[in-house]
Amino acid sequence: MRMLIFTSKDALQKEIGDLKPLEEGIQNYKRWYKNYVIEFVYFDEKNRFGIKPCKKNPKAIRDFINKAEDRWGKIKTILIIGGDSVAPFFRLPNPCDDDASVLSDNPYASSDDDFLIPERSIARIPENRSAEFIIKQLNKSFTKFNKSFGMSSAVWKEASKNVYKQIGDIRELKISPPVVTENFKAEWLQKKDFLYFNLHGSSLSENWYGQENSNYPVALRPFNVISASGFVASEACYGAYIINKSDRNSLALKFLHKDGITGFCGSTTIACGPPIPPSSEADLLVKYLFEYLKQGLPAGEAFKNAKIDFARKMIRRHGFLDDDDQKTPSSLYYTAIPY
Amino acid sequence: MVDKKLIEKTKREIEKRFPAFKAIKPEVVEKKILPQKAVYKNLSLEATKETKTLLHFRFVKKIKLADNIKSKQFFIVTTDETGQINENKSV
Repeated sequence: MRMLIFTSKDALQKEIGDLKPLEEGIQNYKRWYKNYVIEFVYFDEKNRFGIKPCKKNPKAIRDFINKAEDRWGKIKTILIIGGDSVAPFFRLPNPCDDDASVLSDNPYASSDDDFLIPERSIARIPENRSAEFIIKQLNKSFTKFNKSFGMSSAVWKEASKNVYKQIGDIRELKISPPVVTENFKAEWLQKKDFLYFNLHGSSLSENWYGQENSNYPVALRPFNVISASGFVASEACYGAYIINKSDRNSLALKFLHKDGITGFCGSTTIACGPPIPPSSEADLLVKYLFEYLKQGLPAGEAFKNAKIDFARKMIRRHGFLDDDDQKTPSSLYYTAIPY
Repeated sequence: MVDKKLIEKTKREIEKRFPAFKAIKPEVVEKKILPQKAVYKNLSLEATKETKTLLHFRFVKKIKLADNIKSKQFFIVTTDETGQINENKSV
């Protein structure tokens, strides 16, 4: 099984400075992670595949990956190092009438032009302006606690229970309100396998929000995340929007900054779900993701399979994928190592 | 062209099921779903040749979050061409 790790030397250097510690960190990861044959390349400099270096342009990078596959053999997993300023997300046309485009890593995982059903698993480690942050992600390991945490906006309580039951006792699902940032207990996030959030998010705010009628209290702020463990899945709109953000103003990066957090799945744009069961859109994708993770699949593989199952289920239900069904698997992405 | 009577009937049905959006006038959009051959092929499914027609009823509510950030909340109801509600979703 082959894993391709790639980044831009020039752009990453601008973000984190000296690349030596990172290169050593990746060499250690390669030695430690024996399930894969791993190659690390800078797409913008001479490389072992003999592929002409390319510019920091999503289409050119995708061509680079496909050429690497032609010369090296089938690539099962891709790991992108760096955020949008280093290896840009694709800007896909938005099938819905909300944001102008959908930021997505899906095309990097697809060798053909159908980006909805990727053949490769893919993960991204944002740089968060420090080499230490990336190396920390590469060195993370999973500890099992057999406990989970979940939090839902009150208006989506029933829909959230339908997702949370995959990983925990629905009686323990926290509902916002009454749970809000002021009475949020930091220890809820500790010693858990999975952390699930079905809250509102905004492109203008680093916080996530609950809802009851017309009341939208702040449910979680970055400062609520003191110590945390497990895999995080958030359905908040813009929950994984990380452009020009750091761990100070992004909950996604704040979570990843914690030693015990093994991965984060969230949306780059507006994410939707049903107010009541049955699960659809982001609810359904996250539900399948949890199912595969519980079976012990590597996170990248679990996420890829969840996307495929999601598409199959929606086609079985309606006979087609509507606009939101097409947007959901493209806008949700996975950060951290794909082990 | 969407049948206006059908739209009115569906709007009444939505109001009955989801009273929180009663006061909001939805934007109604007719969507044609063309056969999705590539998706079906990648899922190893036999592709349907039909084009489906859907109606999207999109309710948009301007909201203010607790920390005074202005935002919008969407509620979308999708029906088939006969007005039968397929699903509803919120953002």
